[in-house]
Amino acid sequence: MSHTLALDPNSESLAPGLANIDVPPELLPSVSRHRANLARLVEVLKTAGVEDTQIEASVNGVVASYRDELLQAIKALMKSPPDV
Amino acid sequence: MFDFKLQDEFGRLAALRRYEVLDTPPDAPFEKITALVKTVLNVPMCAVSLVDKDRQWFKSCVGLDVRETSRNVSFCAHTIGSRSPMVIEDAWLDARFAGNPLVRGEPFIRSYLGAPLETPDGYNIGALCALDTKPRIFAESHINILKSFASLVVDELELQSLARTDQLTGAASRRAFVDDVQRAATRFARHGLASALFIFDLDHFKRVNDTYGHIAGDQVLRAVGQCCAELTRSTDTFGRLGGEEFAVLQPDTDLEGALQTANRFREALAEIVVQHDPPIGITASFGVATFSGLCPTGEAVIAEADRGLYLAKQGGRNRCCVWTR
Repeated sequence: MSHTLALDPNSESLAPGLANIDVPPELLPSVSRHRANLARLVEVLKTAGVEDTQIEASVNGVVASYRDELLQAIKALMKSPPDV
Repeated sequence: MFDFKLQDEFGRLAALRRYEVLDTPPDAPFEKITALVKTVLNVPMCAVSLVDKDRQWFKSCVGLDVRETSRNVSFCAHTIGSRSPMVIEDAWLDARFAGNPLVRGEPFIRSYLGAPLETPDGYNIGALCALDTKPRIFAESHINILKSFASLVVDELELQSLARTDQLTGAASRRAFVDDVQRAATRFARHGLASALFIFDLDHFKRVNDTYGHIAGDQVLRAVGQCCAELTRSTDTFGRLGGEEFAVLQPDTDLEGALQTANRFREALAEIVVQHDPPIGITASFGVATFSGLCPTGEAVIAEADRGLYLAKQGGRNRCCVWTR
């Protein structure tokens, strides 16, 4: 089966695993850069003739682990409440 | 055009150190990337190589049994000298590598493709490389694929670095601090090198927040972060464990030395005056502990410092205490 992947770096469909995360402003440049790099990866994989299913698996794998790290980074940014 | 950052080895090593990634355990994101490169480029070996002063250390590698090699046999040490990927179609025909022990012996590298890992501030801290045991011509499209994956490696390093820093105080995050304590525990177990740590908690901080508000509370925390950063040695780790609780890890330090340092921190914190109406002053209570035969793990030494902190609070605050068995 063929899949069509969006190439727009700002597209949520490129990295749906990141779409529902409320990213703090401090991390936005990092996430934007990652989206752009993912889009570039999709482009070069397509240009190289890699099958869409393989591209999708690659992107999903990278996004899943990036998402885990992103959540850790967000936790580090959240201010811990003072002791009561 | 002269590219200063490609020649600035001191700055490059400082950039690498900032990521605090050397000698850390394998991480899923990098394992995924090397596995994907191996599959997509159809190579038997792939590695994320970070080029240190005298060695290359692999954050992730597939198809290779080593964790590091000396820098003088490293292909990637050549790759970091350029902004473009380095391609070696046949190492036997390349004077730089024909006699290389990694070519003549295990793992018998014959062809190499490496893309520099360029940080956002322009330093090449290592390379993502694909290796084969037979001569090979890498297509332009494959070179672009590797470059693209190299960018993703840097994304991950950047994100991990952000997760390691508490943005309010500039201290290491709890996760990063605990990682460093675990590394100190490993050094103690392997080589008997004892480290010490102290935990401190700001006294009556809740009163600051309740009386002056959370913005003033944040100002206090920021001032604490700045003060402690100035007192911390480059080999130490200053971390925020949560709320108003902080800690400092001191490698190769005994209990007496850590106690002296803790007292220096205590005195410096007591001199902080946060500009506010009225000005806000603070004190802190400290618990100090060191790795020992009775306290050999990271968890144990943190728990022992915590007990010392409890004693300091019970004893009237603004003091440093050691819990004795």
